[in-house]
Parts: sequence; structure tokens; C-alpha cells
Amino acid sequence: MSKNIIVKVEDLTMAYHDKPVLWDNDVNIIENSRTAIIGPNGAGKSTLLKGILGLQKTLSGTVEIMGKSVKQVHKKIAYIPQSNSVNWDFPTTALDVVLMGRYVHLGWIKRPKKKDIETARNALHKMGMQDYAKRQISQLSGGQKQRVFIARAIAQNAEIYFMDEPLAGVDKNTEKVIIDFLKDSQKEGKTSIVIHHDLNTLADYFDHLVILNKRIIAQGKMSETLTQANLDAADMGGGFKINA
Amino acid sequence: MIYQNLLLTKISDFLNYNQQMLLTLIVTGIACSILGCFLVLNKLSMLTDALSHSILLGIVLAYFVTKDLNSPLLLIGAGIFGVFTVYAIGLLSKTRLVKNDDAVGIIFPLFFSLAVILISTFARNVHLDTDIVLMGQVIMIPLNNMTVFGVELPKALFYMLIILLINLIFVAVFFKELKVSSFDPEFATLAGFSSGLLFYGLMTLTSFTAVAAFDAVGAILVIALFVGPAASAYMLTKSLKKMLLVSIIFSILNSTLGFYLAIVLNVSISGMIAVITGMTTFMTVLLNRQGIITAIYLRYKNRKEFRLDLLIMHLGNHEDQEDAEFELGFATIKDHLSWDKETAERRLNRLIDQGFVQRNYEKKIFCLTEKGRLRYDMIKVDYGM
Repeated sequence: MSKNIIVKVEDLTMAYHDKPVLWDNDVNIIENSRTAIIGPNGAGKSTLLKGILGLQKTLSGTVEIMGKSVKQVHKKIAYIPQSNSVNWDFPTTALDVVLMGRYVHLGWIKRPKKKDIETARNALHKMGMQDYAKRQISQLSGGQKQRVFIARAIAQNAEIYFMDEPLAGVDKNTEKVIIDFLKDSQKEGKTSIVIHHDLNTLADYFDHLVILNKRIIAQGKMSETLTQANLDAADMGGGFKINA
Repeated sequence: MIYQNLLLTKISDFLNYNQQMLLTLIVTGIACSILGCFLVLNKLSMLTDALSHSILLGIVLAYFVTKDLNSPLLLIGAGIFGVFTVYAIGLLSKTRLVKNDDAVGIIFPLFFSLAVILISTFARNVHLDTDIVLMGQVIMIPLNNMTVFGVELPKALFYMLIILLINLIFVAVFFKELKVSSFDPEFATLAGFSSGLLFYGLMTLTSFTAVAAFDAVGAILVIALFVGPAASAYMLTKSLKKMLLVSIIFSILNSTLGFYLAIVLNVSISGMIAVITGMTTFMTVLLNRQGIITAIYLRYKNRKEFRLDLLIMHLGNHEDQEDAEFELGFATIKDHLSWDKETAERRLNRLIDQGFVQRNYEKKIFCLTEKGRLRYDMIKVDYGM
């Protein structure tokens, strides 16, 4: 695996009001890795993702993705938010949401063409959701909603996936589909950055790790970073023991 | 002069006063409801309340500059002021000292009451009175005419037609962008569609629509026209295009019904349309897919279906068993289900009519048909057996 840094964050500080949520963080994400971000509640995990993507204001720091600014490479970045962050009662279908992944390449005003719809259908199929294409999104289960979101990222044909707790509240089957997707993407040369909360599955699902608690506690290869000392330093050690 | 008159087409040659008023109301309603859909989806419906009130201050201020109530500059001034109101609300809520809802509640009463004070102090003799502000002056629509391209038509109708056209073009051209930024604003921003730009575009049009509509129908009906049909359509539809279409249908229905009821009952036209809008929205709340009455009906229907399912289960379970002649016998089946004779017969007959059950005269029992056995298998799957 190449050791290139694909996402480089330097001195990132973010605040809610005057209260800093993230303190002066340097984060390096390795190209073609499956990187997990973990941390206790309120550690600023989601804030970090949003800060990297320019969705929330930063007080200081720079972000480079593939050596460029987010705006310059936005077509290659797919963001999969927490599934409760959007209005699922919105009058639209699963296929339509996936089709939004194509909007990135269409730009303003242009309408999706047959080829885009085909791409969207294939993306749904990859997530095992082909039978739900015309289903209204409010009638999907939690796991199905998450699969629709990932299908949207597939339709976008991005290089880097940013995911905010994609496994929260999904069924076992969906969890497997998502992890298989991450592993397949890695084989295709893609990078994923995923906020994760289950320490038991961490080492199986990911190969790189960022431990965050308002500041970066540790980051690097999974085997070197997932240590009891690091978890304790992030106030995450309680009740969990590393099997050495 | 005579030559000119020959060329002039008068709308009054085709439509009487009532029809002119109704046409204006319908055009206004459609112009409002297509924007209203996006306001409802973005949870911005209360902003229309703020807009429809605070633009009065815009009108008053513009009047002080132009000194002419008929100047189109009045509409433009008020429209710009509306956008400023939205901006001011956004600015106030960005300080995070107050929430967005509170900011709405602070800004618009301030602007509205300022306008009322200004009118009552400096413009007493002008026809900008507060009753008209709230309830509009629909009845005056056909009396204020203008001539455009050789057609004489009510001024309000002309303005609203222009606004409707602009709104339709805006929604048609930016349909994709409006959809994605209403559904998932963060994704939209990252995808390169600035939510801020779309938001202020939507708000600018909302403001100008509100100003033009306000002149004809008053501040209260404007809110009803923006929010009511869109909210009803939101409850009933599965796609955004259908939502837009259904909201237009609701809007036409509300205006027509309200207008004629107001004529018959001799009450305020704006008031009556607002009442009808409220009522149709309320009916939709009761009757939509997840509505209260629908839920009661479905529960009743489910219970009935459940009994029939149970009967099919009973038949399926015992058909091939040795005790079939007792369990399913013509005379004895009712005892095994503890139903009285009439109920059992009624339910069995219904299933026979539906082709699930047949009588086996040889064995003197009820049994399932081919279709019935399929249903039996499906029920087992449905109930996880």
C-alpha cells in the first residue's frame, strides 16, 4: 500500500460559540486506507468531518485533499451524513436520492440523462436495493436508508468516502453489506474515512485509526494505534480491554 | 382615438367582474403555492408570515420616496425590503443569542407596527388603511385596470401573471437544485450547489410574490396561499413533481370554493378563502395516509381481515388432519372457532365469494381452494410462522 497522504489537516481548531470543540488538530489520512475515527461522545468527531469538508466554519487551520482545496476536488469526495440529518418524509423515491449523486457531475441546470439513471440503478443494485427503487424514502428501514445513502456515493463515483456513523442503528445484514463495500472500494484504490463507535469490530473493519477527544490522541496503523494506553488517554478505556 | 379603441381588447368583454376577480385569485394562488412547496419542505413557512407583514413597512417607506401609490417602484421597493427582512432575521439568529423562530417573532412585529404607526401618523389620507392591509381588497381588483399590448385587464391580474411566469421559470430551471438543497443541504453544498444562493433566490421571489399578492388579497390570505395547499400536498404525495401539481389543484379548489361561498354569504372574500384553505388542510390532516380517520378505518379493516386470515389458517391447519370432519365440518366448524352460527356463516360465505374456500360435499367439510392454499402460505410468512 502506498504511504501517500490523501487528506492533510493542519492546526484545525473549531468552536461552537466561543467554546472550542476541536483544539489545534493535525490529521493525516493515508491514501487507499480504511480509516476509522473514534472518540467519546462530544469528542468532536462529526465536527471534524464537517470541518474537513468545509461544511462548518473553522477558526484556524488548513485542509488539503489530494493536494488541493475541497472546492477544487469536490466531485471526488462523497459525504455520507448521519442518516437522521435529513428529512426522510421528503416526497421522493430511493432511486431519486441515489440519482442526486450524479448531480455533482451535471452541474447547474442540466438534467440527469438516461445514462445517469442507469448508473443510479446499478448503484442501488450494488447495495442490494434494486427492488426498492420506486419506494418512497419514508417507507425504508434504518438499514435501507443507510444503503440508499451509500448508493448515492457509489453513483457519484467518488475517490474518498467520508461517513458519519454509517453502522449506527442498522441491521446485521446491512452492516455486512457496508463493510464489504468498504473493502471492495479499497481494492479499487479508494479511501474511506468512517466515524465508528463499536470497539469490538474496530480492528476487523478498519486498518487505520484516529483517536480523538477534542484533540488528536493518536493516529496511525490500527495495530500500532489501538492500545489500552491510547484508549485510556481518550477516556475510552473503561470497560474495554484490548486482547493482546 | 377611434382607431385606438378598435385595437383595444378589453378583458371585460370576455369575463364579468366576478370572473376577473376569481381568475386573479387563482393566478395568485398558483404563484404562491409553487413557491410554498419549497418553503414547507425547508420548514420556512413562518417566514412567509414575517414577509407578508413586514413588507408593509417596505411599501410605506417606498411611498414616502415616490409619493405615488400606483408606482411600480412601490412594489419593487417593498420586494427588496422583504429580502432585507429575511436577511435581518438570518443575521439575528446567527448571533445565536436567539433562536431562528424567535428572530422571526422579533423582527416582523417590529417592522409591521412601525409601518402601522407611520401610516397613522403621516399618511392618514392615503387609502393604505390597516383593514385593507390584513384582508386585502379583492372587490377592487376589476376596477383598477391597465392596458398592456392592447389588452385592458386588471392591474393585479397583470402583475400576478408576470410573477407566476417568473416563479414557474425559476422552479422549472432550478428544479434539480431546489430539490437537492431542500432534501440534504450539506450534500447540496458539497456537490457545488450553494444552498445560500438558492435560499436567497427563493426568498427574493417569495418576497416579490408576497408584495404583489398582498396588494390584491391582504396579509393573512397571502400566508394561507403560501402554506395551506403546499402543506396539504406534502401529506399526500410521494414525489416532488406531484406535490407541486397537487398543491396547485388544492389552491384552485380553495380559491374557487371560497370565492363563491363568500359571494353567497356576502362575507370577506379573502377571509372566506383563508377559512376554506384552513378547512381543506385540516381535512387532509384527518384523511391522509397516516391521518387520524384513515388510521381508525385501517384498524377496523385490519381487524376484519385478521378474522378472515384466522379462518383460512384454521382451514389450512386442519385440512389434512384426521380431525378434519369435526374441526371443519359444515355443522361443527363454528363450535371449534367459538363463533355463533351466523357470524361463522357470514365469514365463510365471504371467503367462498372471494374464491379462497369451497365446500367439500363428499366429506361434508369446508376446505381451501388452490387460491386459498396460496393465501394460507402467505399468511404463515406474514405472521412469521
